[in-house]
Amino acid sequence: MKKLKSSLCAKIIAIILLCATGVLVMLSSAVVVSAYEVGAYNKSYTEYYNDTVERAVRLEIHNNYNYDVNEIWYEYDNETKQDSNFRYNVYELQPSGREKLVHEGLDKGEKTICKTSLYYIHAKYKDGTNYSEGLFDKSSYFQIMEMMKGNKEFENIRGFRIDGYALPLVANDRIYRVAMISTEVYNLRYTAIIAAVISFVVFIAIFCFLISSAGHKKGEEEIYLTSIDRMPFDLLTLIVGGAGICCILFGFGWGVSSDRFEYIIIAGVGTAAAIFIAALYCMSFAARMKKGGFINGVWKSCLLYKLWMWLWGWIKKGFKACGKYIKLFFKYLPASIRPMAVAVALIILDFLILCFNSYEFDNQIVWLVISRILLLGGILYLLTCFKKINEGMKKVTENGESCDINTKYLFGPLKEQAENLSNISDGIKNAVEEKMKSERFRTELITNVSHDIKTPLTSIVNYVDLMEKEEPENEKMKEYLEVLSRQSARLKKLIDDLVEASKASSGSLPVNLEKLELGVLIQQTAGEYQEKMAEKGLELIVTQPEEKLEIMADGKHMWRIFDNLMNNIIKYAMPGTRVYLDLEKKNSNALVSFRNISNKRLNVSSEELLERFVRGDSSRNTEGSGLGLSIAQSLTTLQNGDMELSIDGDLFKVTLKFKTI
Amino acid sequence: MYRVLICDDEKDIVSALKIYLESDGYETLCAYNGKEAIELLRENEVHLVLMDIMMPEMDGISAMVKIREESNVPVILLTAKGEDTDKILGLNVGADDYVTKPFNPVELQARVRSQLRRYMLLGGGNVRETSVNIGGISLDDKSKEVTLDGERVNLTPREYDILKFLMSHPGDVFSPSEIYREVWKDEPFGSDSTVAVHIRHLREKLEINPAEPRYIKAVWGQGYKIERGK
Repeated sequence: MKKLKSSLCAKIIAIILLCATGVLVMLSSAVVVSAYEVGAYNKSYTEYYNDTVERAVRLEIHNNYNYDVNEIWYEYDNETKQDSNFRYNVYELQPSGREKLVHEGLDKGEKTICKTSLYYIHAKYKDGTNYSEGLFDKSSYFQIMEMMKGNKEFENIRGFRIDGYALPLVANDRIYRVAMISTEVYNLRYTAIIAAVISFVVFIAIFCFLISSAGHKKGEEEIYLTSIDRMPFDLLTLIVGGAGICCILFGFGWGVSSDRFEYIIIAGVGTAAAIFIAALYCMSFAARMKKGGFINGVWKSCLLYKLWMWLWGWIKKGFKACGKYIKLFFKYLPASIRPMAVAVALIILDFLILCFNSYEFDNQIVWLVISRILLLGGILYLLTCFKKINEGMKKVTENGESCDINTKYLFGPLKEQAENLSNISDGIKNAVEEKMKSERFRTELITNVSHDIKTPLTSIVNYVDLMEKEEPENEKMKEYLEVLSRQSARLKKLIDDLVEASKASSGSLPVNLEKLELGVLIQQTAGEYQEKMAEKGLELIVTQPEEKLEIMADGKHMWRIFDNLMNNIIKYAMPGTRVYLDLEKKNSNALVSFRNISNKRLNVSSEELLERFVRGDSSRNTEGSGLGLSIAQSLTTLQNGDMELSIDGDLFKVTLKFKTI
Repeated sequence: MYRVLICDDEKDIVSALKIYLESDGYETLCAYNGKEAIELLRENEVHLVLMDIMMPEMDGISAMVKIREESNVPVILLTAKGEDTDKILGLNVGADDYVTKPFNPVELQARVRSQLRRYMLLGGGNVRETSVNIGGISLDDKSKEVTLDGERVNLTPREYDILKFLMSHPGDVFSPSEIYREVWKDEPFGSDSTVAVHIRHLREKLEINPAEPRYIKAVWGQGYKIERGK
């Protein structure tokens, strides 16, 4: 199929076939129509034949009747008479009812095969000019006669009847030819229907093939445009339309008086030519559509389009120039004067409106209303712009998102503002992202490094232990090994705390908030630490309210907080003192406080205590990592709680605050 | 004589472990990555595997999965990361226990002993009907005797009652007051931490590392439970 489509030969044959089938469609449908008109489908042949001849005779009467003739008529000379099968007599129908033979064309004794009558009326206006009216059937004749008689403008009204005859068809005249063709039509009346249908189907099929093959050429992958397809489409339309109309007029002009076969052939040729042109036109249209669609393929090739583009270019240039000058003018005005300039322009405009229409109050109103509507539109536009920018700003301040304001419909300073805003928001977003990334990176780094440190530390711990097991004789050696063992244990603790602190502060620790009873947690903590405290000479005193205090927290993290704080107390509390662990409810908050008396003087602030590791404080003590408080605080914040530290002389107090449920 | 397979990419750690285990009277085999460990396992009869997670060639988790396809030898994982997710992953793919680096040699030896006893002596489980078993803990209500990995543990009557109560509802969490009511048959006094203290004692007697208990666990802010056995 593809090969066929791109074959030129196939296309030429298809076009010829298209013309032929087109002509066939035209002819066969003409046969069907004319057969139907005369009634070939519901009459016997004799009836049909007689009707045909009668129609031909009536046509002859029409052809010979002359409106302008004053009196009667047409003389047949004998030569014409010999070549004709047509005869007629004319009678004047007198008011008395008698008929007066005015013209006698039918010789006495001549044999006829058909007779038909038509009427006409002759009259004079009052001023003497002639008036004639015809040709009618009998019934119409009497009606019109009555009407004319009732009209006072006419006088001398006379009625006539023409009797037309057909002699046995001997001479080769028009009646004879019509009868011959009609006989053919009658014979072909059914064949013609089939022919019309088949040829129509074939015609459509070939047409479809041509449309689909339009633009394909052998050896060309893409749609190929011929020189016809490159012509401006509207010009092509004009040419094709003109030529087509000529062909059709030419064809039909001959075809209408189709009493000769030669005429039919001429009509066929005309039709074929019209179909040929139309087919080429349609193919060109199809090729253009395939190449670039309607806009690119068809519309852009039009002369009208070129004209429009040319005009549009000028219009645009004009607007641009105007805009440029207005912009320049505005640019050189200081910012504070710009709104004033707008206001002055408006006042001048109003003044002009009032002046020019000073005599017509209605006009003034109309112009004022129009100018106010325009002004309102401008204000609304400005408000919309401000709203847009404001929305963008909201986005930035609330969510830290980048705002992408569509600056396409903004102008001048507003556009600048919007663009600056989106630059700022991009900056903020980048900074936040950067920060999160570096936090995560830090945590990851610490985790990985700690893993790498732990491996050699394992060996150190193990070999120190093995050396201790060897039981060295030297007392000093034993002492040194003891130091190594203690310090490596501390290193281990330090690494674990470091990882934990970094995770807790960067928020990369998973938190499972559950319902948690603080009273139970305190009992559990007390159970864990009571004996350890007693060993250190500390007395733990726990108080808690009767009612249950429940909070939302992660049990493991809560334990870690309590564990750290209790460990701190054991490490730093003065032996022989009491340690208070209290739970109370204040408003909708649950407060847990840890209070103890410090063993050493606390000459640091609570802030310093929390951040001493970060700060690298020189007064750090040798036990533990010093990260316990910091971890506890981070974990508390992570669970939406609050940790407060207070130092009052030697009294050291930590308060945890959580919302109760 | 039991044979233990030690697998770690750090040669010093392997030799240290070898010394500890041989001093306890075990035979040892050494491997330096997961692949070697699996090969040695196929060729030799091994009673316990000690394996690091982070190793070249084949890591401990993949080796663990491979081992479990072929054998149910007890495996103790050594991990440096100490992250909860690593531990859970290790236990889920079939490890029996884990030890975080740097480990305490005594604790490690205890864990090895516990796993071997359970695997070799109690594997068949000639369990008396009157006894309740969870993990390595066995409680016989008739003789009022508690054994851990086959070794007798001395408990006070209160500790015994608490353990019995928890073991009869494995996996369920009980608040301290509920335990008090059940064991002491009395109303608890407000902020009393008696139950917590007893639990801690129980843990010290039954757990190798009381800070990281395997059986008796605290659900902080809610109560205590005994882990459902495997």
